[in-house]
Amino acid sequence: MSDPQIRVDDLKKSYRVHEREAGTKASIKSLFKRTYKEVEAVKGVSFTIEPGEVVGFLGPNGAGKTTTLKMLSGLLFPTGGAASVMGYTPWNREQKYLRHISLVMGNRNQLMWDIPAMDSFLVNRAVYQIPEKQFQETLDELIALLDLEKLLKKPVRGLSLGERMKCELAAALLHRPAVLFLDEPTLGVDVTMQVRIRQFIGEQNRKYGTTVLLTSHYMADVTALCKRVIVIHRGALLYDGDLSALSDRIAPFKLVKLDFETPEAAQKAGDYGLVTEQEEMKVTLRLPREETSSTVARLLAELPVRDLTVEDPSIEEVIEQVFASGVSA
Amino acid sequence: MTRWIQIYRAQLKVGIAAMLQYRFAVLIWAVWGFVGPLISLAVWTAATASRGGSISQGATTFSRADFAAYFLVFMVFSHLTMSWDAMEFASRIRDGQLSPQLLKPIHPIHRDVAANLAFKIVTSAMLLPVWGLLILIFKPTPPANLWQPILAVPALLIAGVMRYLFNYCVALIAFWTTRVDAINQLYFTLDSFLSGRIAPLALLPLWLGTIATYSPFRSMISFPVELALGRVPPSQIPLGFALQIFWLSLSVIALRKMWNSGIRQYSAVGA
Amino acid sequence: MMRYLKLFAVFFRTSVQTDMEYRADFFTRIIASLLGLLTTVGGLSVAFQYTATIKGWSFAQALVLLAVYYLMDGLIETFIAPNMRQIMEQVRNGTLDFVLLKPVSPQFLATFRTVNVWRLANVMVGMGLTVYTVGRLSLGVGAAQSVNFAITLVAGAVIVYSLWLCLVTITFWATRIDNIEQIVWQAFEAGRYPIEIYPAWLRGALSYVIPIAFIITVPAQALAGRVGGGFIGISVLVAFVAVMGASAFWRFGLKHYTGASA
Repeated sequence: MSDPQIRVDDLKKSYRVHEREAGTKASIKSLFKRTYKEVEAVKGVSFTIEPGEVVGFLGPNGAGKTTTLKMLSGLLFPTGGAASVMGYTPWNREQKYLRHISLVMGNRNQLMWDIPAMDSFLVNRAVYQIPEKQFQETLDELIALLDLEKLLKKPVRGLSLGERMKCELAAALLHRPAVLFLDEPTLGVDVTMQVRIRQFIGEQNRKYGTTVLLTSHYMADVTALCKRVIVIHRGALLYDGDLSALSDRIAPFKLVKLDFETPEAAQKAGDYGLVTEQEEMKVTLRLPREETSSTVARLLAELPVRDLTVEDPSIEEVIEQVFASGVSA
Repeated sequence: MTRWIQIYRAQLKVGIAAMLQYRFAVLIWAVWGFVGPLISLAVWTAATASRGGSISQGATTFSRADFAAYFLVFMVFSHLTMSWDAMEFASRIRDGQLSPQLLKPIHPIHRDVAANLAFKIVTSAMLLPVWGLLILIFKPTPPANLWQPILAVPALLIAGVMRYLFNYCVALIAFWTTRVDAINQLYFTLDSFLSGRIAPLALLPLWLGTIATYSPFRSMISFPVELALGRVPPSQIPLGFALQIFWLSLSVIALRKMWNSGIRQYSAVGA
Repeated sequence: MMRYLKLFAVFFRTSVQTDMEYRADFFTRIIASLLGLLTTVGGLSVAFQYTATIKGWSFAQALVLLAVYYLMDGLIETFIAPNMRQIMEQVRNGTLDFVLLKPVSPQFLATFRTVNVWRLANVMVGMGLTVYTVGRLSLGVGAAQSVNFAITLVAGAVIVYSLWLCLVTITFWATRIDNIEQIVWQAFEAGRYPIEIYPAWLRGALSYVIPIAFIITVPAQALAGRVGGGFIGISVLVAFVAVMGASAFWRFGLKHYTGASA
């Protein structure tokens, strides 16, 4: 276990994008003269992941998460840097490498739309050359764990989003990949199903030592599964370390949403903490975690408050905070 | 009225911008429409050569240059009156794209008409040089007179509207059946024979030619083409226009009826 | 090799299962195909009303060509077209990624994945017409001719496959040309008549640029026993070169798709 399973070294990717404004005139103009812009999606990211780790890959939209995952799964060729997964260079796309990995994307499906998922599974069995016995065992286990029994016979288009994602996961795990890349696996799925999927991923990791690299918009996915997180923003690495340390260090605050009775009261809210949002008599305050309860008590006592809620900052806000304070590993 | 002008102006603008985005794809479609008539022209040119220079039936005679004139005008008129809604409408129903369109405070056909006009504006600009080149290559016979080609303009306008509406009616059949492929093929087959696509109607076997004359398909393309070539016997011109008006009115009525009961069908099935 | 044959068997089975859901399509296809046939045969017969031969082709001979055209059309729509359309669709919505993630040749997985089973209706109509027209000409087709016909027909299909693969590869750069297949059809359409009817320059293009002659005319002539072994060899060679070239272009396109050439 001395070698890391995934090693990423100064990985870079930039695209050339064609720019055009809206409207007929602009589209005619672009026939003759095109303007291009160089976009750096990933600008030099480095990290290593040990076998059996579950790592959360965080960042706001457009941070370069998906681009990095695509490079690691061999779908994209980087513009610079190096990576090795299980000793392979992903973008050489050797068949031996592809047999050991899987990529699940929450917004795209690999299952064929018009036929039952089971048929897609059979195709995967042939494609990955899974021995009959192993296929049957794995399938039985997946059916039991994900409760697929009734879903496999129905055409995929007739399944709900959550059911489809369960089938997608099963399809991706049939060949028992050692490394699993998950890009927003719970996107749009309802909360109970999210929990279910999370548990399943955790079990796979514990039982088979599957290495998981996961991106998600839902903090709950990350807190439930990942001890370690990597945060990137605008293509650069901002934090790599324990999740607990991240929230302690970066988000030691709570958000208090207030609705006041009078505009004058709303004016005074700034005396109690940092105002992050204000719309007439509705004010959001950011308060240090340890002072939250005492400050809220004071607010209620001293100002006419109509309504009050206390919330944890969203993942986006945490990441914004990481970015603003410029913490690095 | 000004509301309609505004609506169409806006829709056309969007339509043209979209067409320009997809200019190569659009050009491929447009050129596609030229292929059929050119193949017919090649067949008839070869047949004419085998017959020593001209082919005739009854009072009608076609030389090689006459065929060239016929099919060159035909391809342009066919292009100017074409539409693709019949191919598309079924998938629009299937994929549920129709439902959001029904929510807008305007009949969806207007969007389609605007897209159709945008296509024709963009492609005509692109195809004009191609057509000029074809005239140089094939050296067609010029029109026999000048007054008939002038009459061809209103005839072409009526033809364009009625061909569009007929095609839309065929499209609407998708409300009742999912087997639109066979229906479209049937429509295309009828169109091939009766609109003059495979041969000038005067050269068809007599019984077929008679059917063609009274069918809506002649009014859709062949009649304006014959006028543009100056080949319609003057006494027949009023009949031609009368038939056009008749089929135009019928297509308007059919479209309304079909749309209303089709929509009822559509909402009953639960879309 | 065995592995890929087995894979194709799996693909075929799943395609049949998919299409079983749309059983009525079979009859729709038969009807549409027969109507299409009626249009072409009818069109041709109108011209032949005025002359016994066109450029040395009798009506019956022209019909043999038409039969081969329909047979080829059916093969294309059954085996080639659905995959090529699917690739373009996958390029557009990004699911081609899943093809690239699989431990098999992407070209194989992408181009043999689906079979449009009901389009075999077109193949059947084409076969029926072939048998009928050959019988009418009393060509007396023997075993050797049948084998030659089969070889040249497959070679023709391989050439179509290669051309189309090249066009699909172009969409890696230009995703908006989603109807690029029309270019193949435009040339193919022209091949349903003897190419002698076309002006010389077009004939040249149809023989060498888009070798429609090898796709339809040569198989038709092989059936009539009018081509020798040499020509059949050339046909196979052209097919081989075409598929090699197309594969190389496809791999180059994939490199661009993954950003390896940027």
